[in-house]
Amino acid sequence: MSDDVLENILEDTNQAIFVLQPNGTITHISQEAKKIFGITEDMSFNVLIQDERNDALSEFILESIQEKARQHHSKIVNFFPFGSETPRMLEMKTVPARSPGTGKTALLVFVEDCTEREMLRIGRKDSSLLVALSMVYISLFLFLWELNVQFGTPVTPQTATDFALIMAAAVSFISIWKTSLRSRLKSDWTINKKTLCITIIALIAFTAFMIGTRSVLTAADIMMPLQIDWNYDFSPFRLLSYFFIALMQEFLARSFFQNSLQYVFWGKYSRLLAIICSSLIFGVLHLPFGFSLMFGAAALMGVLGLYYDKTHSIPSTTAVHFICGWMFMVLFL
Amino acid sequence: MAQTEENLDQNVEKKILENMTEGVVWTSKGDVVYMNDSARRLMGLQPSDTGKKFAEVFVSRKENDDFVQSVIDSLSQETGTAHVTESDFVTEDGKQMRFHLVNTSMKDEKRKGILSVITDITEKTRMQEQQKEATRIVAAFFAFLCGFLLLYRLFVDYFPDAGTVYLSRASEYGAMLMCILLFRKTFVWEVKNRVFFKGAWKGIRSGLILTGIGAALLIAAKLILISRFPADRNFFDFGYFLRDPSHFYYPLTVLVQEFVARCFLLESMDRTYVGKHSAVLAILTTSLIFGVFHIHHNFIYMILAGVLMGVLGTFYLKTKNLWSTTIVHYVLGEMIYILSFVS
Repeated sequence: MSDDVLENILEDTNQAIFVLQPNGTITHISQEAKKIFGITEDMSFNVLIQDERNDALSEFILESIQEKARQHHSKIVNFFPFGSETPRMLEMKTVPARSPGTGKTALLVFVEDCTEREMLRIGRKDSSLLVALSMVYISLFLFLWELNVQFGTPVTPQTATDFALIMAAAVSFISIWKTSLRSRLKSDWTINKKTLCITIIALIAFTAFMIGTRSVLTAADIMMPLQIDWNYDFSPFRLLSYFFIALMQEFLARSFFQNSLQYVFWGKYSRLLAIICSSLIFGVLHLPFGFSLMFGAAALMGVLGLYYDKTHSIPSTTAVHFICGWMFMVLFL
Repeated sequence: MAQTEENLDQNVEKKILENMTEGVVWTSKGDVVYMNDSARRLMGLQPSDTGKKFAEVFVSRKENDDFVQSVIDSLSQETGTAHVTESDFVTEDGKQMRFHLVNTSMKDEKRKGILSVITDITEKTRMQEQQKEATRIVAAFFAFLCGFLLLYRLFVDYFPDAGTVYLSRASEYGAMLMCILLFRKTFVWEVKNRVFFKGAWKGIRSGLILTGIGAALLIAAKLILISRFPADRNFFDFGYFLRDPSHFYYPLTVLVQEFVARCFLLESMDRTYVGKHSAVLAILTTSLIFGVFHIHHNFIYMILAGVLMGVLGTFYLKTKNLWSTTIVHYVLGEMIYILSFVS
């Protein structure tokens, strides 16, 4: 086969291929290798072992050079490609090629980027666990509630949903511990200028909506004129405890349920499906309170789910949840 | 010295082609001039296929038309321009593959030829398809379950005297609707032949054995009940056939229920889960969900429905045949009425 053909193969292949010549230069570089390692023809192989983050690669290449007699295989988990901060997973193979005359040996390096394949495999495994946990969780909650009904409802709806919250916390703990979901959760706690602006706008919009709704209901004689009960418990302890409940609920509903389902679902509608399904599940968890509250909880979850989808910030959704929750209690209950 | 370097270079080039995981095929003047080991392995070809006509090697299977077409299409490209495509490929031993192809039309020593670099993306494509399928199944499952529970609570709050029959029908029709919606989009279409025709006799035989065991247990339970409560002397009650005409089409109802419960609920969960515990998880979750779909009856009913689903689910996953569970379901279901367990 002519040189021209081999050149085309190196151009077309999806594998990163290059050759370390006996004099220490790199030749026969495929297009993919140029992209991943940032190497060009006749460069010294020292460029490959310069990046401290890629120690595993350096060790593998040096070991292969020292033991040129045989093939070497390795899997490098955290490799930072040239000019990139996103780590990739590589499968590497080195093969010696000896010159029959002098015994000079070149080292052929074959690299396959298996990140996508590995991500798919891990994703499938994680999805299994997340779906199974969610289904078992919902079913157990409903079984327990029905058992409670069987015995004449000794446990109140409020206690039942509090218990559901504790169960959800346990389920989310197992999920975060056992799956790669945790890597997605870190970004949920960041606050930047954009998030702050969106939060303020959302708070104003939600407040206006609530006051507007209250005014319309009062004007239509559906609700009595507002009289704030100043004896209501506005103590810092109650405020703080409500804030932590909101934070916990937001973490479980958004970071866990919505993110998990978004992780499970694929395709262009994955985000929408995640919002719809997590809203419905949230509604089902309010089954002890009756249909209206189930429906209301699902609708609220849908709205906050859309909001979270835009901001991806738990502090932001918690702020909205906390302020709107208090306003709802003061204005409507 | 120059000769030595040339030897090394030739050896390097040979080794590159030998050790690539991607297949390389070089076709010139209609002949397959070169194929590396990976190309032969991926396409299930023999070393003797090198040197044969391209048409002789690749055009024999109709399923590989796309592959052949993509190679031919690259002829119309400018020399040196890569024609990138993906196509299915069926090997000689019938293995279904999916390839990413880069075909380059070029001149080699004044000869027009096509260089094909073949990447195996079968596993990746399969995993992507499975994930898409799991998306449809899980989304439909959650929507169906939550929709049913909303409806249940609506009935409890606003129509408390409506009875349970409406919710039972709602769950059945909902399940059938979900089944129809996903019929073409998921595996259900593929499994229908297996569950109805493959190993049908074996399924019927094992179904009859389990039915016999179940029937003996029911009769024994009835005898114990009669001995402990002598007032209840009705051992058989065939009159229910006349009182409730729905029993005449009960076989069909059972078949539909079994198809939905086994081929849809259980199989879909079994495919959604991966790993060594996938079957156990599928049986556990479908049993629990099936129990939840009986929430409108009472807690005991939920437990019994869950246990029944678990037992029949395990049996189904062993036999992989629908007749076995249908027979058990139908005969034992009728016996519960015949023996007056349920009036």
